[in-house]
Amino acid sequence: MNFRVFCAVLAIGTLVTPVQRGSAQEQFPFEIFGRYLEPLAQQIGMPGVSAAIIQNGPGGRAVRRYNFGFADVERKIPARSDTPYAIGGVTQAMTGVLHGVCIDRFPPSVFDIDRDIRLFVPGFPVANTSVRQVLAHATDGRFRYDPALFARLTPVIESPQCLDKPFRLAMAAEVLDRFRGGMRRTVPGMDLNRPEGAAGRALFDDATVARYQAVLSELAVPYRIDARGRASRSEYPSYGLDAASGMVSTVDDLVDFETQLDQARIDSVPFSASTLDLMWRNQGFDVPNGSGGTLRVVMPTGLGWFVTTESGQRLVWTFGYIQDASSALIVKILPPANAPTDRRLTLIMLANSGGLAQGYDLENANVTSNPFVKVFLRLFI
Amino acid sequence: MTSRACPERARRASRRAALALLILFAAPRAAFADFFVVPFAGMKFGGSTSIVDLELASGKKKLVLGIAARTVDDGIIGYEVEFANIAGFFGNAEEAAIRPLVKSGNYVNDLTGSVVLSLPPGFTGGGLRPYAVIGGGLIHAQSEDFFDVLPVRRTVAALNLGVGAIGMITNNVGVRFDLRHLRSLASDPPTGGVGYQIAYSRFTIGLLLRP
Repeated sequence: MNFRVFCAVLAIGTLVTPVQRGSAQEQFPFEIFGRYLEPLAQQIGMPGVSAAIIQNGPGGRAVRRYNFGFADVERKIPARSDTPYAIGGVTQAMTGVLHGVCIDRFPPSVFDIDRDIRLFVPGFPVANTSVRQVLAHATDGRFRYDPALFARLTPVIESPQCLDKPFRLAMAAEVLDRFRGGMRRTVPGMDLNRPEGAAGRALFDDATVARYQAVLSELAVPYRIDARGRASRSEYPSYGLDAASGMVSTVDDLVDFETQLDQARIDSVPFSASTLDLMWRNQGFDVPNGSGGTLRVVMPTGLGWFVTTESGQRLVWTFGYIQDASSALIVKILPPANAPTDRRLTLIMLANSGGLAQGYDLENANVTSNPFVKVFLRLFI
Repeated sequence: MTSRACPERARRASRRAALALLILFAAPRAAFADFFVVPFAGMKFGGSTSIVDLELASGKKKLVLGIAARTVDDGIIGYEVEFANIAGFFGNAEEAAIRPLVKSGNYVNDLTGSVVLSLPPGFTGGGLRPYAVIGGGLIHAQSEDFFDVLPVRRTVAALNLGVGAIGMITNNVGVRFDLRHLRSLASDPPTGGVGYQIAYSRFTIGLLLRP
Protein backbone atom coordinates (compact mmCIF):
# COMPACT_ATOMS: atom_id res chain seq x y z
CA MET A 1 0.00 0.00 0.00
CA ASN A 2 2.77 2.39 1.03
CA PHE A 3 4.68 1.52 -2.11
CA ARG A 4 1.61 2.37 -4.22
CA VAL A 5 1.23 5.74 -2.48
CA PHE A 6 4.91 6.39 -3.02
CA CYS A 7 4.58 5.56 -6.75
CA ALA A 8 1.51 7.80 -7.08
CA VAL A 9 3.26 10.72 -5.38
CA LEU A 10 6.31 10.13 -7.54
CA ALA A 11 4.18 10.07 -10.72
CA ILE A 12 2.26 13.21 -9.79
CA GLY A 13 5.48 14.91 -8.83
CA THR A 14 7.06 13.98 -12.15
CA LEU A 15 4.07 15.38 -14.03
CA VAL A 16 3.70 18.55 -12.01
CA THR A 17 7.29 19.62 -11.53
CA PRO A 18 8.20 20.31 -15.19
CA VAL A 19 5.01 22.37 -15.63
CA GLN A 20 5.91 24.55 -12.67
CA ARG A 21 9.47 24.93 -13.88
CA GLY A 22 8.32 25.79 -17.39
CA SER A 23 5.89 28.34 -16.03
CA ALA A 24 8.57 29.96 -13.90
CA GLN A 25 10.89 30.10 -16.89
CA GLU A 26 8.20 31.74 -18.99
CA GLN A 27 7.50 34.29 -16.27
CA PHE A 28 11.15 35.17 -15.84
CA PRO A 29 11.54 37.73 -18.68
CA PHE A 30 8.25 39.39 -17.68
CA GLU A 31 9.58 39.74 -14.14
CA ILE A 32 12.91 41.11 -15.34
CA PHE A 33 11.26 43.64 -17.66
CA GLY A 34 9.52 45.12 -14.62
CA ARG A 35 12.84 45.44 -12.84
CA TYR A 36 14.26 47.55 -15.66
CA LEU A 37 11.15 49.64 -16.22
CA GLU A 38 11.14 51.48 -12.93
CA PRO A 39 14.76 52.68 -12.73
CA LEU A 40 14.73 53.72 -16.38
CA ALA A 41 11.51 55.71 -15.95
CA GLN A 42 12.85 57.20 -12.74
CA GLN A 43 16.16 58.21 -14.27
CA ILE A 44 14.46 59.85 -17.24
CA GLY A 45 12.24 61.69 -14.79
CA MET A 46 8.91 60.30 -16.00
CA PRO A 47 6.19 60.96 -13.42
CA GLY A 48 4.01 58.02 -14.50
CA VAL A 49 4.04 55.01 -16.79
CA SER A 50 1.48 52.30 -17.44
CA ALA A 51 2.55 49.30 -19.48
CA ALA A 52 1.63 45.78 -20.45
CA ILE A 53 3.17 42.88 -22.30
CA ILE A 54 0.78 40.55 -24.11
CA GLN A 55 1.80 37.10 -25.15
CA ASN A 56 -0.46 35.41 -27.67
CA GLY A 57 0.38 31.94 -28.80
CA PRO A 58 -0.69 28.35 -29.06
CA GLY A 59 -0.87 28.15 -25.26
CA GLY A 60 -3.35 31.02 -25.05
CA ARG A 61 -3.04 34.61 -24.02
CA ALA A 62 -1.05 35.97 -21.11
CA VAL A 63 -0.96 39.61 -20.08
CA ARG A 64 1.48 41.12 -17.63
CA ARG A 65 0.78 44.68 -16.48
CA TYR A 66 3.22 47.20 -15.02
CA ASN A 67 2.50 50.54 -13.43
CA PHE A 68 4.96 53.08 -12.12
CA GLY A 69 4.52 56.50 -10.56
CA PHE A 70 1.55 58.80 -10.74
CA ALA A 71 -1.15 59.87 -13.14
CA ASP A 72 -1.36 63.02 -11.00
CA VAL A 73 1.71 63.69 -8.89
CA GLU A 74 0.22 66.55 -6.87
CA ARG A 75 -2.88 64.56 -5.90
CA LYS A 76 -0.92 61.30 -5.54
CA ILE A 77 -3.19 59.40 -7.94
CA PRO A 78 -1.22 56.34 -9.01
CA ALA A 79 -0.78 55.33 -12.64
CA ARG A 80 -2.95 52.28 -13.35
CA SER A 81 -3.74 50.06 -16.29
CA ASP A 82 -7.07 51.83 -16.70
CA THR A 83 -5.60 55.34 -16.48
CA PRO A 84 -6.52 57.25 -19.65
CA TYR A 85 -3.59 58.82 -21.53
CA ALA A 86 -3.45 60.94 -24.67
CA ILE A 87 -1.87 58.52 -27.16
CA GLY A 88 -1.01 61.01 -29.92
CA GLY A 89 0.40 59.31 -33.01
CA VAL A 90 -0.81 55.83 -32.01
CA THR A 91 -4.03 57.17 -33.52
CA GLN A 92 -2.34 56.54 -36.90
CA ALA A 93 -2.35 52.81 -36.25
CA MET A 94 -6.11 53.02 -35.67
CA THR A 95 -6.45 55.04 -38.87
CA GLY A 96 -4.59 52.20 -40.59
CA VAL A 97 -7.22 49.83 -39.21
CA LEU A 98 -10.03 52.02 -40.58
CA HIS A 99 -8.43 51.95 -44.01
CA GLY A 100 -8.14 48.19 -43.66
CA VAL A 101 -11.87 48.00 -42.96
CA CYS A 102 -12.59 49.87 -46.21
CA ILE A 103 -10.09 47.74 -48.19
CA ASP A 104 -11.80 44.63 -46.86
CA ARG A 105 -15.36 45.87 -47.22
CA PHE A 106 -15.34 47.38 -50.70
CA PRO A 107 -14.02 46.14 -54.03
CA PRO A 108 -11.12 48.06 -55.62
CA SER A 109 -13.57 49.64 -58.07
CA VAL A 110 -15.09 51.46 -55.08
CA PHE A 111 -12.18 51.98 -52.69
CA ASP A 112 -8.60 51.61 -53.87
CA ILE A 113 -5.70 52.90 -51.78
CA ASP A 114 -3.59 53.17 -54.92
CA ARG A 115 -5.78 56.00 -56.19
CA ASP A 116 -4.54 59.58 -56.09
CA ILE A 117 -5.37 61.09 -52.73
CA ARG A 118 -6.50 64.29 -54.51
CA LEU A 119 -9.63 62.39 -55.52
CA PHE A 120 -10.55 62.50 -51.82
CA VAL A 121 -8.59 65.57 -50.72
CA PRO A 122 -8.38 68.01 -53.64
CA GLY A 123 -6.08 70.35 -51.73
CA PHE A 124 -3.46 67.73 -50.87
CA PRO A 125 -0.12 69.57 -51.25
CA VAL A 126 1.83 66.89 -53.17
CA ALA A 127 0.71 65.84 -56.66
CA ASN A 128 0.62 62.25 -57.88
CA THR A 129 0.46 60.76 -54.40
CA SER A 130 -1.61 57.69 -53.62
CA VAL A 131 -3.51 57.04 -50.39
CA ARG A 132 -1.16 54.10 -49.83
CA GLN A 133 1.86 56.43 -49.96
CA VAL A 134 0.39 58.76 -47.36
CA LEU A 135 -0.50 55.82 -45.11
CA ALA A 136 3.14 54.67 -45.37
CA HIS A 137 4.63 58.14 -44.78
CA ALA A 138 6.08 57.92 -48.28
CA THR A 139 4.45 60.91 -49.91
CA ASP A 140 7.15 61.61 -52.49
CA GLY A 141 8.23 58.00 -52.79
CA ARG A 142 10.77 58.34 -49.98
CA PHE A 143 10.14 57.68 -46.31
CA ARG A 144 9.54 60.83 -44.28
CA TYR A 145 7.51 60.74 -41.08
CA ASP A 146 5.05 63.60 -41.43
CA PRO A 147 1.98 63.57 -39.15
CA ALA A 148 0.63 66.74 -40.80
CA LEU A 149 0.35 65.00 -44.17
CA PHE A 150 -0.99 61.86 -42.51
CA ALA A 151 -3.76 63.96 -40.91
CA ARG A 152 -4.99 64.72 -44.45
CA LEU A 153 -6.26 61.12 -44.58
CA THR A 154 -9.23 62.12 -42.40
CA PRO A 155 -11.50 62.96 -45.38
CA VAL A 156 -10.56 59.67 -47.06
CA ILE A 157 -12.23 57.76 -44.21
CA GLU A 158 -15.18 60.15 -44.29
CA SER A 159 -15.65 59.84 -48.05
CA PRO A 160 -18.64 57.94 -49.56
CA GLN A 161 -16.16 55.44 -51.06
CA CYS A 162 -14.98 54.45 -47.57
CA LEU A 163 -17.03 54.75 -44.35
CA ASP A 164 -19.15 57.75 -45.30
CA LYS A 165 -19.44 59.20 -41.82
CA PRO A 166 -17.53 61.69 -39.67
CA PHE A 167 -14.11 60.43 -38.59
CA ARG A 168 -15.03 60.29 -34.89
CA LEU A 169 -18.11 58.23 -35.59
CA ALA A 170 -16.15 55.93 -37.88
CA MET A 171 -13.54 55.42 -35.16
CA ALA A 172 -16.23 54.72 -32.55
CA ALA A 173 -18.23 52.35 -34.76
CA GLU A 174 -15.43 50.38 -36.42
CA VAL A 175 -12.82 50.25 -33.66
CA LEU A 176 -14.02 51.22 -30.19
CA ASP A 177 -17.42 49.52 -30.21
CA ARG A 178 -16.47 46.64 -32.45
CA PHE A 179 -13.34 45.41 -30.75
CA ARG A 180 -13.52 42.93 -27.91
CA GLY A 181 -14.28 44.47 -24.57
CA GLY A 182 -15.76 47.54 -26.24
CA MET A 183 -12.69 49.68 -25.43
CA ARG A 184 -14.93 51.45 -22.91
CA ARG A 185 -12.26 53.86 -21.70
CA THR A 186 -11.05 54.97 -25.13
CA VAL A 187 -12.25 58.35 -26.37
CA PRO A 188 -12.29 59.66 -29.95
CA GLY A 189 -10.90 63.12 -29.27
CA MET A 190 -9.21 64.99 -26.46
CA ASP A 191 -11.58 67.93 -26.92
CA LEU A 192 -14.89 66.23 -26.07
CA ASN A 193 -14.98 67.85 -22.62
CA ARG A 194 -13.81 71.26 -23.83
CA PRO A 195 -15.84 74.13 -25.27
CA GLU A 196 -14.16 73.68 -28.67
CA GLY A 197 -15.42 70.07 -28.80
CA ALA A 198 -19.10 71.00 -29.17
CA ALA A 199 -19.28 69.82 -32.79
CA GLY A 200 -17.71 66.51 -31.81
CA ARG A 201 -20.11 66.00 -28.91
CA ALA A 202 -23.09 66.62 -31.20
CA LEU A 203 -22.21 63.42 -33.09
CA PHE A 204 -22.93 61.14 -30.11
CA ASP A 205 -25.91 60.48 -27.87
CA ASP A 206 -25.94 61.94 -24.36
CA ALA A 207 -25.00 58.72 -22.60
CA THR A 208 -21.97 58.21 -24.84
CA VAL A 209 -20.87 61.82 -24.40
CA ALA A 210 -21.22 61.46 -20.62
CA ARG A 211 -19.09 58.31 -20.70
CA TYR A 212 -16.42 59.99 -22.81
CA GLN A 213 -16.36 63.03 -20.55
CA ALA A 214 -16.09 60.86 -17.45
CA VAL A 215 -13.01 59.20 -18.95
CA LEU A 216 -11.49 62.55 -19.96
CA SER A 217 -11.98 63.88 -16.44
CA GLU A 218 -9.55 61.17 -15.32
CA LEU A 219 -7.01 61.88 -18.08
CA ALA A 220 -3.47 61.63 -16.73
CA VAL A 221 -2.05 65.05 -15.86
CA PRO A 222 0.63 66.04 -18.39
CA TYR A 223 4.21 66.85 -17.31
CA ARG A 224 7.19 68.49 -18.94
CA ILE A 225 10.62 66.96 -18.25
CA ASP A 226 13.58 69.31 -18.37
CA ALA A 227 17.14 68.48 -19.39
CA ARG A 228 18.00 67.53 -15.80
CA GLY A 229 15.18 65.03 -15.59
CA ARG A 230 12.88 67.17 -13.45
CA ALA A 231 9.16 67.05 -14.15
CA SER A 232 6.82 70.02 -13.93
CA ARG A 233 3.12 70.22 -14.64
CA SER A 234 2.13 71.34 -18.15
CA GLU A 235 -0.99 71.56 -20.32
CA TYR A 236 -2.35 69.51 -23.19
CA PRO A 237 -2.56 71.44 -26.42
CA SER A 238 -6.02 72.12 -27.78
CA TYR A 239 -6.56 69.23 -30.18
CA GLY A 240 -9.58 67.44 -31.54
CA LEU A 241 -9.27 64.23 -33.52
CA ASP A 242 -7.91 63.53 -36.97
CA ALA A 243 -6.23 60.66 -38.74
CA ALA A 244 -2.85 61.45 -37.17
CA SER A 245 -3.56 62.21 -33.53
CA GLY A 246 -6.12 62.92 -30.84
CA MET A 247 -7.21 59.57 -29.37
CA VAL A 248 -7.26 58.91 -25.63
CA SER A 249 -6.88 55.35 -24.38
CA THR A 250 -5.76 53.09 -21.57
CA VAL A 251 -3.36 50.18 -21.42
CA ASP A 252 -6.27 47.83 -20.72
CA ASP A 253 -8.14 48.99 -23.83
CA LEU A 254 -5.02 48.81 -26.00
CA VAL A 255 -4.48 45.26 -24.75
CA ASP A 256 -7.94 44.46 -26.14
CA PHE A 257 -7.16 46.35 -29.36
CA GLU A 258 -3.92 44.45 -29.92
CA THR A 259 -5.40 41.12 -28.93
CA GLN A 260 -8.24 41.57 -31.40
CA LEU A 261 -5.81 42.41 -34.21
CA ASP A 262 -3.81 39.28 -33.39
CA GLN A 263 -7.02 37.31 -33.52
CA ALA A 264 -8.19 38.75 -36.86
CA ARG A 265 -6.69 35.71 -38.58
CA ILE A 266 -9.26 33.57 -36.78
CA ASP A 267 -12.45 35.66 -36.60
CA SER A 268 -11.82 38.25 -39.38
CA VAL A 269 -12.66 41.12 -37.02
CA PRO A 270 -12.12 43.89 -37.94
CA PHE A 271 -10.92 42.54 -41.27
CA SER A 272 -9.51 39.47 -42.98
CA ALA A 273 -6.10 37.95 -42.45
CA SER A 274 -4.99 39.08 -45.91
CA THR A 275 -5.79 42.72 -45.09
CA LEU A 276 -3.98 42.37 -41.78
CA ASP A 277 -0.94 41.08 -43.66
CA LEU A 278 -1.18 44.03 -46.04
CA MET A 279 -1.36 46.50 -43.16
CA TRP A 280 1.69 45.00 -41.46
CA ARG A 281 3.75 44.45 -44.60
CA ASN A 282 6.53 46.80 -45.73
CA GLN A 283 5.18 48.96 -48.52
CA GLY A 284 7.28 49.44 -51.64
CA PHE A 285 7.09 52.14 -54.29
CA ASP A 286 8.70 52.65 -57.68
CA VAL A 287 10.61 55.91 -57.88
CA PRO A 288 12.54 57.32 -60.88
CA ASN A 289 16.19 56.22 -60.80
CA GLY A 290 17.46 59.20 -62.78
CA SER A 291 18.26 57.27 -65.94
CA GLY A 292 14.75 56.88 -67.27
CA GLY A 293 13.94 53.73 -65.32
CA THR A 294 12.46 53.12 -61.90
CA LEU A 295 13.81 51.86 -58.65
CA ARG A 296 11.77 49.89 -56.11
CA VAL A 297 12.13 51.52 -52.69
CA VAL A 298 10.88 49.55 -49.69
CA MET A 299 9.61 51.66 -46.81
CA PRO A 300 10.08 50.92 -43.09
CA THR A 301 6.31 51.25 -42.86
CA GLY A 302 3.13 49.36 -43.52
CA LEU A 303 -0.26 51.09 -43.56
CA GLY A 304 -0.29 53.34 -40.50
CA TRP A 305 2.35 51.25 -38.73
CA PHE A 306 6.13 51.04 -38.77
CA VAL A 307 7.43 47.66 -39.93
CA THR A 308 11.11 46.99 -39.28
CA THR A 309 13.33 43.98 -38.65
CA GLU A 310 15.52 43.35 -35.64
CA SER A 311 17.63 40.23 -35.12
CA GLY A 312 15.63 38.48 -37.84
CA GLN A 313 12.30 39.22 -36.17
CA ARG A 314 9.65 41.41 -37.74
CA LEU A 315 8.66 44.32 -35.54
CA VAL A 316 5.39 46.12 -36.12
CA TRP A 317 5.19 49.26 -34.06
CA THR A 318 3.79 52.71 -33.59
CA PHE A 319 4.46 55.61 -31.29
CA GLY A 320 2.81 58.79 -30.11
CA TYR A 321 4.29 61.98 -28.80
CA ILE A 322 2.65 65.19 -27.62
CA GLN A 323 5.33 67.67 -26.69
CA ASP A 324 5.72 68.21 -22.94
CA ALA A 325 2.54 66.24 -22.28
CA SER A 326 2.45 62.55 -23.17
CA SER A 327 3.93 59.70 -25.17
CA ALA A 328 2.94 56.19 -26.16
CA LEU A 329 4.54 53.15 -27.67
CA ILE A 330 3.27 49.85 -29.04
CA VAL A 331 5.79 47.29 -30.29
CA LYS A 332 4.80 43.87 -31.61
CA ILE A 333 7.24 41.05 -32.23
CA LEU A 334 5.72 38.97 -35.01
CA PRO A 335 6.80 35.45 -35.87
CA PRO A 336 8.47 34.83 -39.22
CA ALA A 337 6.01 34.34 -42.10
CA ASN A 338 6.73 30.60 -42.25
CA ALA A 339 5.73 30.10 -38.62
CA PRO A 340 2.32 31.74 -38.32
CA THR A 341 1.33 29.88 -35.18
CA ASP A 342 4.35 30.97 -33.14
CA ARG A 343 3.86 33.23 -30.18
CA ARG A 344 3.32 36.97 -30.68
CA LEU A 345 4.48 39.46 -28.12
CA THR A 346 3.26 43.01 -27.78
CA LEU A 347 4.61 45.76 -25.56
CA ILE A 348 2.26 48.64 -24.78
CA MET A 349 3.52 51.68 -22.88
CA LEU A 350 1.73 54.92 -22.08
CA ALA A 351 3.16 57.91 -20.20
CA ASN A 352 2.02 61.35 -19.06
CA SER A 353 5.28 62.93 -20.24
CA GLY A 354 7.33 62.83 -23.42
CA GLY A 355 9.80 60.34 -21.92
CA LEU A 356 8.88 57.38 -24.13
CA ALA A 357 9.53 59.21 -27.39
CA GLN A 358 11.36 62.50 -27.21
CA GLY A 359 15.09 62.39 -27.69
CA TYR A 360 15.03 59.06 -29.47
CA ASP A 361 15.09 58.43 -33.18
CA LEU A 362 11.61 56.95 -33.62
CA GLU A 363 10.69 59.38 -36.42
CA ASN A 364 13.43 57.81 -38.50
CA ALA A 365 12.04 54.32 -37.97
CA ASN A 366 14.70 53.46 -35.38
CA VAL A 367 12.73 51.84 -32.58
CA THR A 368 15.78 50.32 -30.91
CA SER A 369 16.98 53.81 -29.97
CA ASN A 370 14.44 53.60 -27.15
CA PRO A 371 15.87 51.95 -23.99
CA PHE A 372 12.53 50.39 -23.00
CA VAL A 373 12.32 48.72 -26.40
CA LYS A 374 15.93 47.60 -26.10
CA VAL A 375 15.10 45.85 -22.84
CA PHE A 376 11.94 44.30 -24.30
CA LEU A 377 13.71 42.96 -27.38
CA ARG A 378 16.74 41.73 -25.47
CA LEU A 379 14.58 39.80 -23.00
CA PHE A 380 12.03 38.40 -25.43
CA ILE A 381 13.80 37.81 -28.77
CA MET B 1 87.25 101.28 -42.32
CA THR B 2 86.39 97.65 -42.57
CA SER B 3 88.92 96.58 -39.95
CA ARG B 4 87.53 99.16 -37.45
CA ALA B 5 83.90 98.21 -38.09
CA CYS B 6 84.38 94.49 -37.36
CA PRO B 7 85.29 94.77 -33.64
CA GLU B 8 82.35 97.19 -33.18
CA ARG B 9 79.92 94.69 -34.64
CA ALA B 10 81.41 91.91 -32.53
CA ARG B 11 81.00 94.03 -29.39
CA ARG B 12 77.37 94.76 -30.23
CA ALA B 13 76.72 91.08 -30.91
CA SER B 14 78.27 90.01 -27.65
CA ARG B 15 76.21 92.64 -25.76
CA ARG B 16 73.04 91.31 -27.36
CA ALA B 17 73.98 87.72 -26.52
CA ALA B 18 74.67 88.68 -22.91
CA LEU B 19 71.31 90.43 -22.70
CA ALA B 20 69.56 87.42 -24.21
CA LEU B 21 71.22 85.10 -21.69
CA LEU B 22 70.23 87.41 -18.85
CA ILE B 23 66.61 87.36 -19.99
CA LEU B 24 66.70 83.61 -20.50
CA PHE B 25 67.98 82.85 -17.01
CA ALA B 26 66.23 85.63 -15.14
CA ALA B 27 62.69 85.51 -16.45
CA PRO B 28 61.19 82.02 -16.18
CA ARG B 29 60.50 80.93 -12.63
CA ALA B 30 59.85 77.49 -14.08
CA ALA B 31 63.55 77.02 -14.03
CA PHE B 32 63.07 76.39 -10.31
CA ALA B 33 59.88 74.31 -10.68
CA ASP B 34 59.88 70.91 -9.00
CA PHE B 35 58.00 67.98 -10.31
CA PHE B 36 55.89 65.92 -7.89
CA VAL B 37 53.89 62.75 -8.11
CA VAL B 38 50.66 62.86 -6.07
CA PRO B 39 48.92 59.61 -5.20
CA PHE B 40 45.58 60.47 -3.63
CA ALA B 41 42.45 58.97 -2.13
CA GLY B 42 39.14 60.40 -1.10
CA MET B 43 35.43 60.49 -1.56
CA LYS B 44 33.24 61.15 -4.57
CA PHE B 45 30.00 62.82 -3.55
CA GLY B 46 26.96 64.31 -5.21
CA GLY B 47 26.66 63.72 -8.87
CA SER B 48 24.18 62.94 -11.55
CA THR B 49 24.17 61.24 -14.90
CA SER B 50 21.95 60.65 -17.89
CA ILE B 51 24.02 57.59 -18.80
CA VAL B 52 22.07 54.41 -17.99
CA ASP B 53 22.12 54.17 -14.20
CA LEU B 54 19.94 51.19 -13.38
CA GLU B 55 20.56 51.25 -9.64
CA LEU B 56 20.26 55.04 -9.44
CA ALA B 57 23.71 55.21 -7.90
CA SER B 58 25.17 58.37 -9.42
CA GLY B 59 24.43 60.50 -6.35
CA LYS B 60 25.99 58.07 -3.88
CA LYS B 61 29.30 58.54 -2.04
CA LYS B 62 32.12 56.39 -3.44
CA LEU B 63 35.82 55.85 -2.83
CA VAL B 64 38.13 57.65 -5.24
CA LEU B 65 41.70 56.55 -5.89
CA GLY B 66 44.04 58.31 -8.25
CA ILE B 67 47.40 59.73 -9.12
CA ALA B 68 48.49 63.13 -10.34
CA ALA B 69 51.68 64.70 -11.62
CA ARG B 70 52.17 68.40 -11.02
CA THR B 71 54.76 71.13 -11.05
CA VAL B 72 55.32 73.12 -7.86
CA ASP B 73 57.34 76.32 -7.80
CA ASP B 74 57.32 79.79 -6.31
CA GLY B 75 55.26 81.22 -9.18
CA ILE B 76 51.56 81.57 -9.66
CA ILE B 77 51.03 79.27 -12.62
CA GLY B 78 51.62 75.54 -12.57
CA TYR B 79 50.44 72.49 -14.44
CA GLU B 80 48.91 69.19 -13.50
CA VAL B 81 47.81 65.94 -15.08
CA GLU B 82 45.50 63.74 -13.04
CA PHE B 83 43.92 60.30 -13.31
CA ALA B 84 41.20 59.06 -10.94
CA ASN B 85 39.16 55.90 -10.63
CA ILE B 86 35.76 55.57 -8.97
CA ALA B 87 35.07 51.86 -8.62
CA GLY B 88 31.43 50.82 -8.35
CA PHE B 89 30.12 54.17 -9.59
CA PHE B 90 26.94 52.52 -10.93
CA GLY B 91 26.39 50.19 -8.00
CA ASN B 92 23.94 50.99 -5.21
CA ALA B 93 23.81 48.55 -2.32
CA GLU B 94 20.32 49.66 -1.23
CA GLU B 95 18.82 49.12 -4.69
CA ALA B 96 20.81 45.96 -5.25
CA ALA B 97 19.27 44.44 -2.14
CA ILE B 98 15.82 44.78 -3.73
CA ARG B 99 16.48 44.30 -7.44
CA PRO B 100 20.12 43.79 -8.38
CA LEU B 101 20.74 44.82 -11.96
CA VAL B 102 24.33 46.06 -12.24
CA LYS B 103 27.31 43.73 -12.22
CA SER B 104 30.24 44.50 -9.95
CA GLY B 105 33.27 45.80 -11.81
CA ASN B 106 31.54 48.93 -13.04
CA TYR B 107 33.55 52.14 -12.76
CA VAL B 108 34.16 55.69 -13.89
CA ASN B 109 37.64 56.96 -14.74
CA ASP B 110 38.67 60.51 -15.41
CA LEU B 111 41.85 61.80 -17.00
CA THR B 112 42.36 65.55 -16.97
CA GLY B 113 45.01 68.16 -17.60
CA SER B 114 44.77 71.43 -15.69
CA VAL B 115 46.35 74.79 -15.16
CA VAL B 116 47.03 75.39 -11.45
CA LEU B 117 46.87 78.93 -10.10
CA SER B 118 48.56 79.10 -6.66
CA LEU B 119 49.22 81.85 -4.17
CA PRO B 120 52.99 82.48 -3.96
CA PRO B 121 54.70 81.11 -0.83
CA GLY B 122 55.44 84.65 0.39
CA PHE B 123 51.73 85.24 0.76
CA THR B 124 51.19 82.26 3.01
CA GLY B 125 54.27 82.52 5.13
CA GLY B 126 55.36 78.99 4.38
CA GLY B 127 52.03 77.45 5.41
CA LEU B 128 49.49 75.75 3.18
CA ARG B 129 49.37 77.30 -0.31
CA PRO B 130 45.85 77.59 -1.67
CA TYR B 131 45.30 77.00 -5.34
CA ALA B 132 42.56 76.76 -7.95
CA VAL B 133 42.57 74.46 -10.97
CA ILE B 134 40.80 74.65 -14.27
CA GLY B 135 41.21 72.15 -17.03
CA GLY B 136 39.65 69.59 -19.26
CA GLY B 137 39.91 65.97 -20.20
CA LEU B 138 37.90 62.82 -20.55
CA ILE B 139 35.50 60.83 -18.38
CA HIS B 140 35.08 57.16 -19.21
CA ALA B 141 32.11 55.22 -17.79
CA GLN B 142 31.76 51.45 -17.96
CA SER B 143 29.05 49.22 -16.61
CA GLU B 144 27.27 45.97 -17.41
CA ASP B 145 23.91 44.75 -16.25
CA PHE B 146 23.20 41.15 -15.32
CA PHE B 147 21.05 40.52 -18.37
CA ASP B 148 23.38 42.29 -20.77
CA VAL B 149 20.58 44.55 -21.97
CA LEU B 150 21.99 48.03 -21.56
CA PRO B 151 25.79 47.84 -21.35
CA VAL B 152 27.56 51.17 -20.89
CA ARG B 153 30.93 51.89 -22.42
CA ARG B 154 31.12 55.60 -22.96
CA THR B 155 33.86 58.26 -23.06
CA VAL B 156 32.91 61.91 -22.98
CA ALA B 157 34.84 65.20 -22.93
CA ALA B 158 34.78 66.88 -19.55
CA LEU B 159 35.48 70.13 -17.73
CA ASN B 160 37.39 70.10 -14.48
CA LEU B 161 37.24 72.84 -11.81
CA GLY B 162 38.63 72.76 -8.32
CA VAL B 163 40.26 74.38 -5.35
CA GLY B 164 42.69 73.07 -2.78
CA ALA B 165 45.87 73.65 -0.83
CA ILE B 166 49.34 72.13 -0.69
CA GLY B 167 51.95 72.19 2.01
CA MET B 168 55.47 70.76 2.12
CA ILE B 169 56.36 68.67 5.16
CA THR B 170 59.96 68.08 4.07
CA ASN B 171 61.84 69.03 0.92
CA ASN B 172 60.64 65.82 -0.72
CA VAL B 173 57.23 65.17 0.81
CA GLY B 174 54.13 67.30 1.03
CA VAL B 175 50.39 67.01 1.35
CA ARG B 176 47.54 68.10 -0.93
CA PHE B 177 43.91 68.74 -0.05
CA ASP B 178 41.76 68.92 -3.17
CA LEU B 179 38.08 69.60 -3.84
CA ARG B 180 37.11 69.16 -7.46
CA HIS B 181 34.06 69.12 -9.70
CA LEU B 182 33.99 67.29 -13.01
CA ARG B 183 31.27 67.70 -15.57
CA SER B 184 30.86 66.25 -19.05
CA LEU B 185 30.56 68.67 -21.93
CA ALA B 186 28.17 66.42 -23.86
CA SER B 187 24.60 67.54 -24.35
CA ASP B 188 21.44 65.47 -24.22
CA PRO B 189 18.03 65.89 -25.80
CA PRO B 190 16.03 68.54 -23.98
CA THR B 191 13.74 65.99 -22.34
CA GLY B 192 16.47 64.37 -20.27
CA GLY B 193 16.38 60.73 -21.16
CA VAL B 194 19.23 58.25 -21.37
CA GLY B 195 22.19 60.11 -22.77
CA TYR B 196 25.76 61.26 -22.29
CA GLN B 197 25.92 63.61 -19.34
CA ILE B 198 27.77 62.88 -16.14
CA ALA B 199 28.86 65.14 -13.30
CA TYR B 200 30.30 64.59 -9.84
CA SER B 201 32.47 66.16 -7.17
CA ARG B 202 35.23 64.66 -5.11
CA PHE B 203 37.33 65.55 -2.11
CA THR B 204 40.72 63.89 -1.91
CA ILE B 205 43.86 64.00 0.17
CA GLY B 206 47.16 63.28 -1.55
CA LEU B 207 50.84 63.00 -0.81
CA LEU B 208 53.27 65.11 -2.83
CA LEU B 209 56.30 62.95 -3.50
CA ARG B 210 59.40 64.12 -5.31
CA PRO B 211 60.37 61.28 -7.65
